[in-house]
Amino acid sequence: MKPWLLIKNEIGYRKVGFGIGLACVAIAIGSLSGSITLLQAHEARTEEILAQRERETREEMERLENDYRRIMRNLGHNVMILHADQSRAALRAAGHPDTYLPEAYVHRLGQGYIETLNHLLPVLQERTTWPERELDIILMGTPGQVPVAHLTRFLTEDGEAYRNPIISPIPEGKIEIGHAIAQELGLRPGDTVTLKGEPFEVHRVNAAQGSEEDIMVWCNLDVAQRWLDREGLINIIFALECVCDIDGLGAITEEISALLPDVQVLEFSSRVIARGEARQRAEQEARRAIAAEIAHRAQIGDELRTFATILIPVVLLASGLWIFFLILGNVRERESEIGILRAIGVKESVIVSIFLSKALFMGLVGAVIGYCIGVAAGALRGGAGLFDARFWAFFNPALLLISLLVALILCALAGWIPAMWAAQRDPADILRGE
Amino acid sequence: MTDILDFQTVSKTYRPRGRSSVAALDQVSLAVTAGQFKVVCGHSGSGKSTLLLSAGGLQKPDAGKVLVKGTDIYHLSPEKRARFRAETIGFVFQQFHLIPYLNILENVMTPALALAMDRSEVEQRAREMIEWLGLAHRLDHPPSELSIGERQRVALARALLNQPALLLADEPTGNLDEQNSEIVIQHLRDFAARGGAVLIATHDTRIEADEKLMLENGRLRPVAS
Ligand SMILES: Nc1ncnc2c1ncn2[C@@H]1O[C@H](COP(=O)(O)OP(=O)(O)OP(=O)(O)O)[C@@H](O)[C@H]1O
Ligand SMILES: [Mg+2]
Repeated sequence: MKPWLLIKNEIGYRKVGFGIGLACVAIAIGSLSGSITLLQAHEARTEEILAQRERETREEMERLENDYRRIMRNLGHNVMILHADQSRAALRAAGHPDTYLPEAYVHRLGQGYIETLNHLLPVLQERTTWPERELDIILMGTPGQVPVAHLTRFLTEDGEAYRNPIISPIPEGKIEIGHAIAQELGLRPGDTVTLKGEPFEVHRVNAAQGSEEDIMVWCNLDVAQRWLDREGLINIIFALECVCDIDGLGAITEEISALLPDVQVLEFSSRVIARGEARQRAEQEARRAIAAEIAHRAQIGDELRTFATILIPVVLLASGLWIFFLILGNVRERESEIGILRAIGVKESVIVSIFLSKALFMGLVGAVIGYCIGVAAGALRGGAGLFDARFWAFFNPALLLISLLVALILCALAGWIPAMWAAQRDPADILRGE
Repeated sequence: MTDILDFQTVSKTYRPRGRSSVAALDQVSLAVTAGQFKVVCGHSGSGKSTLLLSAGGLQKPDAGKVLVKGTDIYHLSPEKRARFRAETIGFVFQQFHLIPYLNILENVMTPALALAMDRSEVEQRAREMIEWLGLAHRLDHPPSELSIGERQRVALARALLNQPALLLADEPTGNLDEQNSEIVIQHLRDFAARGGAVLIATHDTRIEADEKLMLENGRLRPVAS
């Protein structure tokens, strides 16, 4: 015969009392595991929402950036690098710079680590006449865009050229002409013309821009240098300002002057800049919104935590007291039993173990019930659906272990005094009879 | 013949706090030998229960010695005394003190809780005891389904399970009708006849015994039969 038989049968005999005890433990553990699960669910949901916001923002930013790139491509470049001595008045008056830079400068930029600029286009630009046709033109000699070596995402596999250049190199023996020239001279792509005594094929006629571009003739840099007698020289480096910085000019100037000491940087095309700024603002706005959301959800989390830190001890204390009185009542009910067991020669420690084991068993079963109910309620309240995989993920063994431990400690504490009292009852008082 | 129970000038006075003290036993001496069937009579409050509880190691007297099978039981540690009680002494009470959620067989087997004993052997002995007391057909019934007389027989079976040397019965017939009293007393006599020492406390003066004693105000005197 083992004490366990007494515990088991007594529980069956006094089901209601045991049931109330179970309910107490379940409520205590339920509010513990429920609060923890709710907090976890809240945090998981926060992360989910934020991840989604971030994704949306990123997509929006990418869209804006693509827009921006498109505009850039349409408008061409928005930054000019000129010689430091170049007068802006003279530039405006002549329509082209009258100071020159070594061609090597552009390669220095391309090899240097510049972040604020991209799509470097070295040009030798000069106003001249087309002698055979007696026409004023702006001659534009360029070797095509010079890659920025570290901006690999813009480069072809071999890193030698841009993936999508704004201006490709002009093929040998060909020229590109502005819309006004083409109209004036009645030229089409494929026509052959003579320019400064050399034959060229019209490679392309550029679309009408309503600007000086319409009277530009684009040719290879070598050709222009030869004609203008400017071997190894250029007078403008066009570039595209990166979309990453609002204070573009300052940063660009700083970066460039570190590599090229005797140049100045000019910005033009304010529409592009406005777009860039709008994009920056949109991004900042989105970041602010996300930050606000984080703060808001963190506040809710804090409130939940505060609530839980008040609720859990109160519920634990109340349940502990209730369990204490239940077990005390149970001891009183079982006085006759205690008396006869002592008379039979059962040791005090066995009496203690009978009451304490029952309390611990109650804690164990109550903890499992409370854990299941608490986690389920916490997960549902925290926004997980009953049939989500997420819902089941909240049932973790660590929390079960904590629940069991807390319940066992609670029941051991609540059961200890009544069990000791039971063991120390004087059997003579019970057995003497009325 | 060796005394199973040897009560040597035992005194016990209850001193409840704030109330007048009661001398329940006053220098009581008494011996019960193996095979003896002794009865202590007395009115209510004369100290009968106190006497039996003291004899059984459940109530330490203020003075005097209680020897059971030659052992001074109040010189044992509480643990050892409990074990000694489990091995040597059986109790029967007026309120049978059966455990309500155990069936008859389990109730009779409860003394096995105190001693490490082989389960099948204990069960075998319990069944024999129950059969001897004529309750074989009620083995798996709870006490609540038994008549009062049957309940006292179950309590008796439980007291005898560990084959004690001494059986102490406090008003064993107090709740029973004449016929059931007769049955229980007869079984106690049988136990004594097989070499057990029996001491009964009762207010029923009609019970026949090897020796009858009268307890009055804590003092014991023989009764002429
Ligand atoms: N714990 C106690 N405190 C004070 N007095 C007590 C206590 N227990 C018993 N008494 C008193 O001691 C006396 C003897 O009590 P005891 O129970 O031994 O008598 P009894 O002969 O068994 O009586 P009954 O026949 O009614 O069972 C009584 O007067 C009783 O009131
Ligand atoms: Mg009494």
